[in-house]
Amino acid sequence: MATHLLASSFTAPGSDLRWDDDFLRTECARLGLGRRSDRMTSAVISALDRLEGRPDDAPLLFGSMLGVQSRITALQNDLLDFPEDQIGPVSFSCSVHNAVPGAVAIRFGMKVPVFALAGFERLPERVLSLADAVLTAGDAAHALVILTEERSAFADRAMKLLGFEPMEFAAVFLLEAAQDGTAPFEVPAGTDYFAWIRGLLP
Amino acid sequence: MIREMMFRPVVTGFAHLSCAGETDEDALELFRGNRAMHTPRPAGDVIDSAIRDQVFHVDSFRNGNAPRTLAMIRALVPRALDAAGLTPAMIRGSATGCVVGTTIAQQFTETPYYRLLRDDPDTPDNAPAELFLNSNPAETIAREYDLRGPANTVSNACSSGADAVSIAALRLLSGQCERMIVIGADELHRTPVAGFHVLGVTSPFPCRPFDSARAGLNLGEAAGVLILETPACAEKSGRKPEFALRGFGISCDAAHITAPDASGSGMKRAFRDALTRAGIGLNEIAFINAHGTGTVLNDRCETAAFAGLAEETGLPAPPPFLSTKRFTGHTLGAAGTLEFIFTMLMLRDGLVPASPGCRTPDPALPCAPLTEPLRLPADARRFAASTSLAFGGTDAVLIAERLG
Repeated sequence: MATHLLASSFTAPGSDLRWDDDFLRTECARLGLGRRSDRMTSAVISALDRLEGRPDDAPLLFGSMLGVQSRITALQNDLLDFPEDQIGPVSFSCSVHNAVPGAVAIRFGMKVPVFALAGFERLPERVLSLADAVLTAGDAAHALVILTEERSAFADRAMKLLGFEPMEFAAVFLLEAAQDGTAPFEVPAGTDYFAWIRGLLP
Repeated sequence: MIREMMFRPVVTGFAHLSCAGETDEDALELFRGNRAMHTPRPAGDVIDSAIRDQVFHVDSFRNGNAPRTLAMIRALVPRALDAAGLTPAMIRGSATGCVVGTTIAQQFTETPYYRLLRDDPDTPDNAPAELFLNSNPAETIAREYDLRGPANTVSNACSSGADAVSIAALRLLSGQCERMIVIGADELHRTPVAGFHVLGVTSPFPCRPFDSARAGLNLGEAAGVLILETPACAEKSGRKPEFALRGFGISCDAAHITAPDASGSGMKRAFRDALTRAGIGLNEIAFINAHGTGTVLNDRCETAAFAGLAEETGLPAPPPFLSTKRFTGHTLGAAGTLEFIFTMLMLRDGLVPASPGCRTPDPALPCAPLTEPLRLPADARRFAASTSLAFGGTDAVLIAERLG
């Protein structure tokens, strides 16, 4: 089995599609996300919106080591500063790990399987290999993979401990099931084609 | 696109820990009505919290200095392996995978450390962060047992445990490995206790799913572990499994971040997919172990889905259903795995208890849960379903099969 990478999109500070306050404010307005959309959710939706050929029936596979840091930090600050029965309910409900892919599903009306994965060891490969499993098991013709991180005081500390520079980005990948991973295949005319994933270590 | 599965992953062993007990017999005696239900206590009496909502805490479990969720997992994995006729030595270095559904164990929730970082961003204290980064549950179990198969921690809120089972099945069906250790686990913790409290969905008394006098949910803690294998893998070692995962379905209703679609559209879609994968009809489902948290929105969504599915398949009524949350509390990321295990135990015993806590079914719901225990006829002890709902709009359905 093989998986085709059909398209990708990316936002990050310093990239053509940067991830700063001005950019996100403009994107939130353009995408109708409203003032309550957090940074990570806005960046992911922006990246997905720019993804060519995005199908609305593809399972969503979300991978983030540390999750939606702006919400998690706000929740923990609430717990530090206020009695427990006065914390912000939105900080809590939107801090859960699958809140971002859930918001993506709502924004694009995607009534599809959603998997929110976490971890620190080779997470991108593990998310991609699960996407490969979804496609190989014949569950879907396409899969959308979202990889994202957001900076915060804790995230910066964690990234350094993991051996990374502090970073934030939102990257999305559209994958397609290949019929035969070993034989030559035809790329459909007009397909924006970037790479072919021949195999993945689980 | 969804079609009947090429083969049915078999369940060769399981283990569980919750306020329903620590052994199969503990749980079955509770289901049979021979043992009293756990009495929940105020959260502030059992964990570091000022909240007084009723919670289900497993008092008998001591985690020492280890993170509590991980400690529960570590206690159960050897028991599940043993039940499957396996030893740690037999799986060490093998292409066995591991998938863990959890909520608390994958998010850094050490509130005092946030204060430290806020007050002193250059603090040299890394210990809490290092502990967190080194104790991701799936990665930890994979390291400790030297597993060479895929390792995933999935955090789909309250459906994490059910989604872990589905992920394991996908790994097996795709040929990525032959055996998966599937885990759902969550401890009682201050963060969700406060979070659910401010959402206004917690009950001041023991939960009463589907009852007209329901007031919300009680949080709980639990872990469930099951060993899922390809039939060929189980056969190689000469073991005869008692259960199979006959089908699974996952969907997202894309309606609201915390509230399920009241029409039950996502649950219906997930249920249809599970039945298609199973190659069976709704009429063959002996009973449904519902998510049944005890909130109004949950009850409306699930009963609308069950009634709607019955209507579209021409059945006069949906399969009998119950919720086991009054036995255990809502155990978040553990619930889907734990309740799938309970579903298999009920199939084994042939007895489905009346939905605990429900005395007067809410007449506004389109269908009512079991109000009397159901003795399953011998020829109807084959298939049963377990359902889960979650923040983010996720819906999950697992179908268990008792093998002849």
